[in-house]
Amino acid sequence: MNIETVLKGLMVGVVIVLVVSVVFIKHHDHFLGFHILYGAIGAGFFLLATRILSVIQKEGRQDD
Amino acid sequence: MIEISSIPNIPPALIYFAGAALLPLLGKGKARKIYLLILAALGLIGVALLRPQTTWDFSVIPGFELTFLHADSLSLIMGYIFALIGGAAILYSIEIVKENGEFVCGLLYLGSALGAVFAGDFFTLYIFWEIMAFSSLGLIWYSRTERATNAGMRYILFHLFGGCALLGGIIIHYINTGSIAVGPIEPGIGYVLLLIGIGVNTAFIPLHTWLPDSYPKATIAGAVFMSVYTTKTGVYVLARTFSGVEAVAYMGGVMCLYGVVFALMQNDVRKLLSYHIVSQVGYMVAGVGIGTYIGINGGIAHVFNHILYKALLFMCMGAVIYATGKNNLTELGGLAKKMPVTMITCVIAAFSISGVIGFNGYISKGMVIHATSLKGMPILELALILGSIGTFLSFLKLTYFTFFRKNEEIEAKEAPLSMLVPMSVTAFLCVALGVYPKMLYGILPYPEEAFHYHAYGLGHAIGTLELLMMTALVFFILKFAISPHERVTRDIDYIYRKAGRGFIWFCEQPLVTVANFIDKGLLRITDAFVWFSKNPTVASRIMVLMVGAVVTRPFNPTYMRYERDLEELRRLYPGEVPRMAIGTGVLLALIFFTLYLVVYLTHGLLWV
Repeated sequence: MNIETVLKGLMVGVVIVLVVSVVFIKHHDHFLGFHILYGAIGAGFFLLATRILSVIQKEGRQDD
Repeated sequence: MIEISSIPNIPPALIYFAGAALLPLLGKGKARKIYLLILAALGLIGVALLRPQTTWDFSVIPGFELTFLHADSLSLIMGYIFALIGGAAILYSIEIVKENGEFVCGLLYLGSALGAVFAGDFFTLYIFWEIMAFSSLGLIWYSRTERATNAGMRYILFHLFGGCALLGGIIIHYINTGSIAVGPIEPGIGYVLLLIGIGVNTAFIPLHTWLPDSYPKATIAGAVFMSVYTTKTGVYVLARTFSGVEAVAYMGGVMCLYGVVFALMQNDVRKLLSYHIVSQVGYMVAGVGIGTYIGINGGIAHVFNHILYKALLFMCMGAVIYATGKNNLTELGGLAKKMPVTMITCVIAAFSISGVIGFNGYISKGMVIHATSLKGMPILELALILGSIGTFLSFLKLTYFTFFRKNEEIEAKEAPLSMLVPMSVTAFLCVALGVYPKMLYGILPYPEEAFHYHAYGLGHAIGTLELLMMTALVFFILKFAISPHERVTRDIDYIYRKAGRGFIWFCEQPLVTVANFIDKGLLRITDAFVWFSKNPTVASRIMVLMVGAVVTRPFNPTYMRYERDLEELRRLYPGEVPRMAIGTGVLLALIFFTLYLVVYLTHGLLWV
């Protein structure tokens, strides 16, 4: 499986997470323990985002 | 007893500018330390004594007045926090800054930031805006490294671009309205230019790259100053000019997420903090963009709180770099026992920025998020809540890998007392404003509305607690996934630099080739004119003969002799030039001049 396929999959995942989140945030009063769920979703979102963006990182010390 | 109302209002900028001017006279000893402490106290008193709704005008020409001091509730709250944290930064720097020049830059920077927030008109604002850019450049260049020099160049280029846009916007606004008072802008090209100019200082995406590029390369003390003034002055001007603009509010959401994601990928501690400035300024921009009372209150409260905890974070990381000589998370760790005061103050700052209950960030961040909810902007609300989660993740990473991860090899001892005192005072304020937010509510632009906000409502408090606890749990389970690495992270400035190099190549190669070609062509034409003017009669004859030689060559059997004659004529050129008496020359000149006048007058008369 090449990197492009993986990235596409991850991007689709992020979009789904964001759409579900918007629905949750509009109707969060109906969910018990909404913020616990949301904390997990949010943390997962950032772990995913940093994984995707690690593609634009290159090896070496941070310099100019 | 002195009556406070009898003390005249002085623009606080003047106190710091005068202080900076006199500083080099004091050398580098004890006198300088005492002088700086007195100056910090005087600045603070100067701002504290300013009375609301007062102005200090200066007439440049009749009908055109510059307002150097315009004190109202918005400028006063900015003034209080600028002077307060300026005092803390001066105290923090007192032992570690060796060169007077660096202090002069710091004082000019602080003074000009105060000048900008108390400016009542756009031109005064612009003057202080530019002084801010150049004085802060000094704080980067005093690092005296090649990286700092290059970053400083990029920093000032960005700010000059922003300054030009700002000035262009101001001039267009003045032409359109005839007013230079700092206030809302009417739509048009001036509106766009002003937004770009302010956007550079406020670190709008994608105009933000100067910030994470330059702040980590500033001096230890310089970074503390820089973390406070530039972006917050931008937010202040945004609140004056673009409050209630939805696009601005959404830009805040973008900044919030963008800053956090890039912060999570950093290894350099001050670069991580710099990206968090972008992110946190996003909350302020969102609050201002929402434009409701609670939105503006939240945005400005977040400016106040953010200045406290962000300056504290830069102070803590400065202390770590000062004590260890290391600035990468991969090299740090194990400092909790060696630098306990720094660790405690850093944890307080980290909790504050993450919006943990009981700390000041919780109050103002909650206000902004509440404002989005009231305004009915769920996507922005989502972005800001996500930003909170990312911020907490990021600061769990920073504190864990700096202080708590095992590292037996690291050697360090606690920072000097002059650094610890301002750190402790700032940390105390972070907690005090979190526990008793009414101290802050009273000085917000709309205090009555602020008192209606209940930060410690049960639902909000429990919700925040759930959110942060879950985030912490995920971090400790999956911390390997965001552990620091020795990697270079490319930001949008990668594109700018590539484009810049392309532009330089274009200037040096194709553009120079075309310029040389045009240059040579023009030289040839000039030479031909000079040659012709030496003897126009003979030159004309030669030219006619040359044309004749070319045309008749195929039909003329004696063309060889013809061309020999032509060559001889060329050799003898210019020959004896007929000379005229000077009077003839003057006469000719007069004739030409008369002809010119006749044509001019006739043309003019005919035209009329």
